[in-house]
Amino acid sequence: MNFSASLAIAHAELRIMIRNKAVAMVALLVPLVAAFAIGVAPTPTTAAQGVLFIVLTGVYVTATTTLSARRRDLFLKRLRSGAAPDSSIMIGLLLPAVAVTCAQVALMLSIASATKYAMPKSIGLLVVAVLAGAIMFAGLAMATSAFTKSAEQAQVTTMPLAIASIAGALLVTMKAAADFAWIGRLLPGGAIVELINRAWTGTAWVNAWPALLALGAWTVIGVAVATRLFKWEPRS
Amino acid sequence: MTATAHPITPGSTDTLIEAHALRCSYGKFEAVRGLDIMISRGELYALLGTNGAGKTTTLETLEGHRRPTSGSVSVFGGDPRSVAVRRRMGMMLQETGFAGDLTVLEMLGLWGQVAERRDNAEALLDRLDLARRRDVRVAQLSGGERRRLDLAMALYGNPELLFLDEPTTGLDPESRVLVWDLIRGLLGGGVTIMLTTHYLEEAEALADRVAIMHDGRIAVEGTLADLLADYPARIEFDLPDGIAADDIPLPGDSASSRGTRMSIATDDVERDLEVLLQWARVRNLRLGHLEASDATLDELFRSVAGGTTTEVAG
Repeated sequence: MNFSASLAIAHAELRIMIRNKAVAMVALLVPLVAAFAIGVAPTPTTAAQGVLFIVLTGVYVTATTTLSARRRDLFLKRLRSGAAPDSSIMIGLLLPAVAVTCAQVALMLSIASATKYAMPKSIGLLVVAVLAGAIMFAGLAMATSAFTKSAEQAQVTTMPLAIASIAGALLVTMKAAADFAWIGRLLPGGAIVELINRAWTGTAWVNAWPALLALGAWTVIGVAVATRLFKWEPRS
Repeated sequence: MTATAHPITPGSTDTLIEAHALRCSYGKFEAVRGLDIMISRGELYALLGTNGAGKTTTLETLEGHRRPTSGSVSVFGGDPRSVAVRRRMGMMLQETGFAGDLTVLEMLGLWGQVAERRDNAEALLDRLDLARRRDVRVAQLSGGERRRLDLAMALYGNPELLFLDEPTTGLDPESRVLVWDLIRGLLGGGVTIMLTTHYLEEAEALADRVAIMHDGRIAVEGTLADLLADYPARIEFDLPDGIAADDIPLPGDSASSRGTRMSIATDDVERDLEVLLQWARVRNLRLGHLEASDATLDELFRSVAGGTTTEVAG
């Protein structure tokens, strides 16, 4: 593992992100909008859905778009012609999306708590939910990018998983669909929302095991599928 | 036909690149069909060939960008994908990308970390006439400038081995000369270079050994002198009025004509020229635009591309 290469790539990606005014603006607006939604309906469910939305767009959609664009531009091939191992390159490419997402979640929660919303009782559960969710979506982004030829196409190819994640979140949180909560937990997104909900209510870790298990399983699936399907070049 | 100037011992420390029975496929299409290559320290080996001959696939396999379907590859005695080997080699790919929103200097800085090599980036940019563009975003560079930045990245940190895939394609004549001079300087410093190019004069000017690929195989390989020694020289002239090609007093199977332009292939240009001039003098004929020249790489290349040369690599 070459951490200095990872950091150099991450630094370059962050620089590119900041120089792209539209991307920088969206990165700032997303947590503001989510915080506003929490302000309107200050419940743990709204907060959980806000976090899921941020992780989904900030990691999954952004990483799929970035990887597809870098592969199409043959920049991945360029990076691979150096001495850094593949894992270092990938960490460098994904790190900015994960870091920005974590910052967005922190910003959203800071704004929300500064108004009339209480902070979660179990910060540890919240951190696990966000980090594991980010890793899961990063792996799934690598896998999705294998079917995505360009940044534009990423808007379409990310849809199925995004919809499944939102459906999972709704099934877990809607009281009317309580009997189907287990289905929601099986979908990516459902477990994240459940864990964040429990973070606010202060559930003991031991009681959160089904959601932790589901999130862990999806994380393993995401990384395994990514390892198998990811392509470094358009022609390979 | 094959000729090797410096006999290379497989596995010796002077052999930097070694490939045996190399085969590479894309699905059912076999791009490289059984290649043996050995390149020794300090030489420039030029790999030529028509479009689709398999040059880039060969190069990218030797660089470690793709795994061979079968056969073996060794660079510095190891796997070209290994970190230890990668640190010692630079590569200029035929097609590759940059982060367009980074400046030239930022791109080189990033590259230093990824390649795990250190260098004076500003001095390197100066050598490639890019110093004044150091703070310009890569997306704003011209095609030729990007190619030179590409070369700067290959040279960054003074690697011992360089893979240059069509390094002067897209460059203006002045930049091409700059790159040629730079390559000569590198060779003088003991750097080993594997080069592919479509400019035959580039190979003629720089290469210690030349190989011409055709249809996934190496058709000919050797020093330019050895390769061309086996090829006939050529005498060309305009046929005088009233004279037919059959009237020429030289072996008929070596002669060919295009309109009134006569071309004669010969193994002994002095002897045949004397015969021809004597014949013309006796008849008081003038041989217009008379030219005698040794075989050229261009002719050799065209004969390989046309499939008239027997392939040697199995």
